Amino acid sequence: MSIDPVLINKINKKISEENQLENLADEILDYLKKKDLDQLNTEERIKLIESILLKIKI
Amino acid sequence: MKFNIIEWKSVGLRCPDFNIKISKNDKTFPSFIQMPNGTGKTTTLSLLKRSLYNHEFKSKEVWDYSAKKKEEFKKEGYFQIKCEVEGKIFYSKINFNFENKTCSYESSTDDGGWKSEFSLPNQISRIINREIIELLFVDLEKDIKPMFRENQTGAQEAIKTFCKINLIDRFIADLDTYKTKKRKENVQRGSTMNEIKTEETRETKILNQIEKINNKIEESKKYLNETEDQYKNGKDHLRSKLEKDSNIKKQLDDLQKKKEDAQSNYDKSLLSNFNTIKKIGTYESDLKKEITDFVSGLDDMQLPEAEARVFFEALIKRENCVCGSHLDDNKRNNIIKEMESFISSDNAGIISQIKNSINQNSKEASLNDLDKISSEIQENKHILDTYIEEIKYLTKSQLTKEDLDLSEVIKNLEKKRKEEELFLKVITKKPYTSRDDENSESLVSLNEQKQKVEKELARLSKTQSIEEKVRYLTRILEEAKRDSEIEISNEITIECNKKLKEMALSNPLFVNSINENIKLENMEGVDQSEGSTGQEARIGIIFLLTILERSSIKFPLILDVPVKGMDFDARLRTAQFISKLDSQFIGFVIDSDKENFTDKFKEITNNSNNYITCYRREDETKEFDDLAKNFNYPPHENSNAHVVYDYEFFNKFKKEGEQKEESK
Repeated sequence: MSIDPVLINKINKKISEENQLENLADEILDYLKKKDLDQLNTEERIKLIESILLKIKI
Repeated sequence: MKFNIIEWKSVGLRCPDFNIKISKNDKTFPSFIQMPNGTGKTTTLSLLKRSLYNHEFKSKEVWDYSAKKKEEFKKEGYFQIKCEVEGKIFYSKINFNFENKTCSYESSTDDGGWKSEFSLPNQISRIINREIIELLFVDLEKDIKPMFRENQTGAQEAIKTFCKINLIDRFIADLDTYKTKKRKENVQRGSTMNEIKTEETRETKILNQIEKINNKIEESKKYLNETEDQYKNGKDHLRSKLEKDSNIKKQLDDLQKKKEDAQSNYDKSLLSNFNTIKKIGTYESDLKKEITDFVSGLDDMQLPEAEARVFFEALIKRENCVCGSHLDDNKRNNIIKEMESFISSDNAGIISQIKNSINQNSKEASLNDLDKISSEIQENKHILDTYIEEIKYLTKSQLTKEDLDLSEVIKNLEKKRKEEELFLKVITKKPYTSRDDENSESLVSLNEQKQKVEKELARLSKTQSIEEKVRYLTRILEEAKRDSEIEISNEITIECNKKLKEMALSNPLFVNSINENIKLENMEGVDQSEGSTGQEARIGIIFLLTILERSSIKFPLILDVPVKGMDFDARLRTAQFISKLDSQFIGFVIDSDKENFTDKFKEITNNSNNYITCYRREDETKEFDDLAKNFNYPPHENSNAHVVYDYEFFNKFKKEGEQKEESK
C-alpha cells in the first residue's frame, strides 16, 4: 500500500469513532488504493461508491 | 511510481548544444553535472522544468532562449527530454522559432510516434504539476525561498501530493459526481423541474465563482512571491540610505515615535467620538425622537423574527388560511419556506441588537458636547499630519532622485501587496452570511452556498438519502485528511530537525512547524521569520529529502549548487543524506562544490554514481579539449559544447576565476 500509513490510521480511527462497521474503512481504503493505481473505470467507481454508501448507517 | 530523467538535448539555444545522458549502464545513479558559470545551468534547469508541464511562452521569453552570440544565433532550436516512468520511455520536446518568437510542444506517443502537443503518460500526468516541478527542480538561490514565505503553500502542497493525501480530494470529487448523476437520473416533472433548473443554474454560477476565486488565489500568491525580493530589497536599500547618518537616523526614530503617539491619540479620540454619538440620550435634535419612534414602530409590527414567527406558526396549524382557502400539505410547506425567507435569523439578530442598543443608549441622561469632541479630533489629526509631513520631508532630503523613484515604486508595491494579502487572508476566508450571493469572494461562503443548493436539489429530486450519506462520508474524509496533514507535518518536522542536528552546524536554524509554509526557529526555540539564503537552502534540501524518503512516489530531485554556503561537515552530511535517497538525484555543481561533497559522495557510494562535466567550447577553453582528448573523450570539432563522462576529468576540470566569482 503506497498511501501514507498516517492517513490509513486516521481513516480507520474516524470510522471507528463514528461507530460504523470496520469493513466500511476497508472499502474506503480499497477505493483509494484503486484510485491511486488508476484501476477504476466509471462502472467500477459507481459500484464501489454504492457499496460504500450502503454500509453507512446514519 | 518511479520516474527518472534519462537524457536531454539542447540545439540552437542560449545554452550550448549539449546532449547529456544521465543513465549509465541503463541505470540512473545519482548524478553530478559540473557546469561552469556561464554554461547555461539556469537555462537548462528552466527548460527541464518547462518540458514537463505545459508552459505558455511569451514572445520575450522565447527570445531569451535564443543564442546570444551572433555567430551562434540560429532561427530555430529545440530542447528535448527523454524520461522513464515505470520502465516506459517517453519524450517531451519544445521547438523554438526565434524569427517568429514562438514555440510549440511535441510529445511521444505510445506507438512510438509523435504528436504536436504537450502530453505526459497517464501514470505521471495525474501526479505531476507545475508546483511539484518547481518544488523539486530547484535553483537553491531563488527557488527555495517560497517554501518559507508567508502566503505561499508549496511545502503543504508537497506533503499533500507526496503522502497521497490528495487522493481524498479525488474521492470526494467522485462522490460529488455520483450524487449529481443520481439526482439527474431521478427525473422530476412540471414546476419541480423548473425549480431544479433554477437551482442548477445557481449551482453552476457558484462552481464557476469557486474556480475563479481559486485562480485569483494562485495569481495573488504568485504576485506576492514574485514581488517579495523587489519589495524587501528596496525597503532595505532605502532604510540603509536613511540610517547611514546616525544623526538623521536618530531624528527619524524620534519622529517615528512621535507619529505613533499622535496616531494613538487620534484613534482614541475617534473611538471616543463613536462611543458618544451612540448615546441617543445626549442628542438634542429631532434625530433622537426619530430613532426612538423607529424602535416603537418595530415593536408595533412585532418585529423581528421571534414575534413574526408566532403568526406563521399559528397559521400553519389552522385548517384554513386567513384568505379562507383550505390549507393542504403543499401550501403548508410553502408557508414554512416563506417563513424562513421572510426574515432570516441573522437579520433578526441584527434588528434585535439595534433595538437593544437604542433602548439602552436612550437612557443616557448627561449631555455630551459633540463640538468639543470634534475639535479634539481635528487637533489630533493635525498633529499626526504634521509628523507624517516632517518624516516625509526629512526622508526626501536624504534621498537621491533614483532613491525617491524607488521609494515611490516601493510605496505602490506595498499598497498592492497589502490588497493581495487582505484578499488571501481575510476576504477568501470570511464566514458565510445570509446576505451573500454567488458573487462572494469568500471560499467559505461559496462552499456553504454550494451545500445549501445541493441540499435543496436533493430535496427537489427526492435523493436526500444519498445526499445525506455523501455529506456524512465527505465530512469523515475531510476530518481524516485534516488530521493526517497535521500529524504528517509534525513527523516531517521532527525528521527534518533530526537531520539538521546531525549536520552539526555552528549557527543552526530548525523547523518550528510546517503549516502552509515552513516556519523556522532558532536553537532556543524562538521563532525566526526568515533565515539566510544558506540556512534556508539547507533546510529546504532536508525538507525535500525527507519528504521524498517518506513517499512512495519516486520523483527526481534536481538541485542547482546543492551545497552553496555550507561548511565541510554540512557538505559531508548532505552527501550522506543524498546517498540514501531512493529517488533519482541530479546536482548541478561548480568546482568549489567538489571538496568534501562530490569526492565524499564517491567514497560513500563507490561506483553507484555518475560524474559528468559539460562546458562551452570557446578559444579560451582549448585546454579542456586537450584534457578531454587525454581521457579519450575528444570533442566534435564543429560543436560549441562538449560533455565528458569521467570522474577523473570531473576532478581535474577547473575553470579559471570560478572560485572568485562564486565568493562574490
